[in-house]
Amino acid sequence: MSFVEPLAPTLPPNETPAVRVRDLAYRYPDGRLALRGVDLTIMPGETVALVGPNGAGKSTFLLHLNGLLPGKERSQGLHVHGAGESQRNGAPSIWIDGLEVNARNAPEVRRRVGLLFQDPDDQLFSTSVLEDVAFGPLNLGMDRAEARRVALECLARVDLQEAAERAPHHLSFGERKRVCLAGVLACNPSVLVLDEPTANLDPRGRRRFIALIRSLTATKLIATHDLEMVLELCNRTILLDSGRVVANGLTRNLLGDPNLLEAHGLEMPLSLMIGRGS
Amino acid sequence: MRLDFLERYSEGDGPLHRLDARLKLVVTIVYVVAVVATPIGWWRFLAAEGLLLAFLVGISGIPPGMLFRRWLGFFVLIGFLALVVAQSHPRRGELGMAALMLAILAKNSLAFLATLTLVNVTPFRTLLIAMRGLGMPALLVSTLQFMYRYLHVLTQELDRMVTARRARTFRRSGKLDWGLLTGLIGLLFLRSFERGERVHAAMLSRGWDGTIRTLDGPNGPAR
Repeated sequence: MSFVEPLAPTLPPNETPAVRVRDLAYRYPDGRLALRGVDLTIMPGETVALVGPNGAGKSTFLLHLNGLLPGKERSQGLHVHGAGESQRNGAPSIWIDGLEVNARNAPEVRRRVGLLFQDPDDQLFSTSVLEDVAFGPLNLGMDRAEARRVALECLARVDLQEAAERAPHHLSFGERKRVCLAGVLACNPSVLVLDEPTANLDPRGRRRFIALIRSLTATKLIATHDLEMVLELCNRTILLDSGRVVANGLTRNLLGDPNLLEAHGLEMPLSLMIGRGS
Repeated sequence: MRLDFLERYSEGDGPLHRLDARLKLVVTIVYVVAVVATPIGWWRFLAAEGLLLAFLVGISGIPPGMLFRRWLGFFVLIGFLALVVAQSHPRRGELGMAALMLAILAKNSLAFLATLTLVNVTPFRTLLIAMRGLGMPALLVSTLQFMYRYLHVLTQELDRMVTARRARTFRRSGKLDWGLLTGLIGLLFLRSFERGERVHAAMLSRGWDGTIRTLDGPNGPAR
């Protein structure tokens, strides 16, 4: 049975997809092919999981959604890492809310897509928590008082308002992760892209983070190895391996197929196994 | 957390802690310039400068023992420098080698101790805001801010690498030899380079366009 469900015919005719990716390929600067023709569509309000073994191309794919890859910004005087080439055959391959992702649209795309990085230390670079959360709003053009207000509001949403004046290196890993989420939320994105949101969190921190993600109304794409979380949060799952979409379908069906999972370095979540009495 | 000793006393509540950071910064700079500009041979003037600093340290509440230990590390470096510089100083014949070395040592030590006192009575973040307040270019202040933030991250990374290496080193001495340490430092350099790229990507993804904007402008924090 195939899980690559033809999604296009089921789309409501007049709705623009939140994320549309067509035939996206990307080659690393060292020549390896990271993505080979990724096709997917995410509708507004959906919560979709992106799973796959290490090195499947998940993180590389996520950077594309924000226009961070391929490194087209050189011409603007900003350099972006890994200036490999995307093989686009001249045609655009990613749209966010109908807006094509390219170097020219990058600022608007980055406003719409909030990207949460896996390592909070990559994202937290200010000397105080409040300053860091206000970074996005200030870049969006808010004045200082407004940015401060939005930052405090977002810190309150992740339950860290009392940490506003603290230095990031005095926070726990879980707290830093929540500050990062606040920093992304402060940009008010319509699409949230989370890279391994629960990795390295202790069970309480993980539980808290899952509750937080659930409370957010934006369209969400979550790249993760935490399949239990996927079962909890995501209706639909996309399985990526070797830079290809191997399966794309309902989470319960996909994660309930032990052969498919095993073939791609994954494992059926324990809760599903128990549920099936095996 | 290894670097916390750098500013262990900066969050205190002494009379110097309560002063405006901009004032402290300006006074320190003026003091350092005065010390450096003191002509060699004006020993009384230099002694007066030393006494002034001793007085300030006295009321600041910073343990002098801590300053002294930090100064010892500095002394090794500057002692060597004093030796080299005094050798080739144009007024060596006139003043004598010992006086030259003493002057170089004293001036450098006073400047060093003054700066050390400043960072121990002012939290680094406040210092950064003060720099902005004094009109220092945002780019420079941000560079310092990054240095401060990632100094902590990178020391922790080095800590972990050293621990991992130590776990695989079967020798009685717990110390790593220099050869290993150099390798680790090289690795740390590569890792910081990669981290720099990721930090940059994270900044771009939050709308950074090359302009540095902060909550605290040159005219102080907006409330």
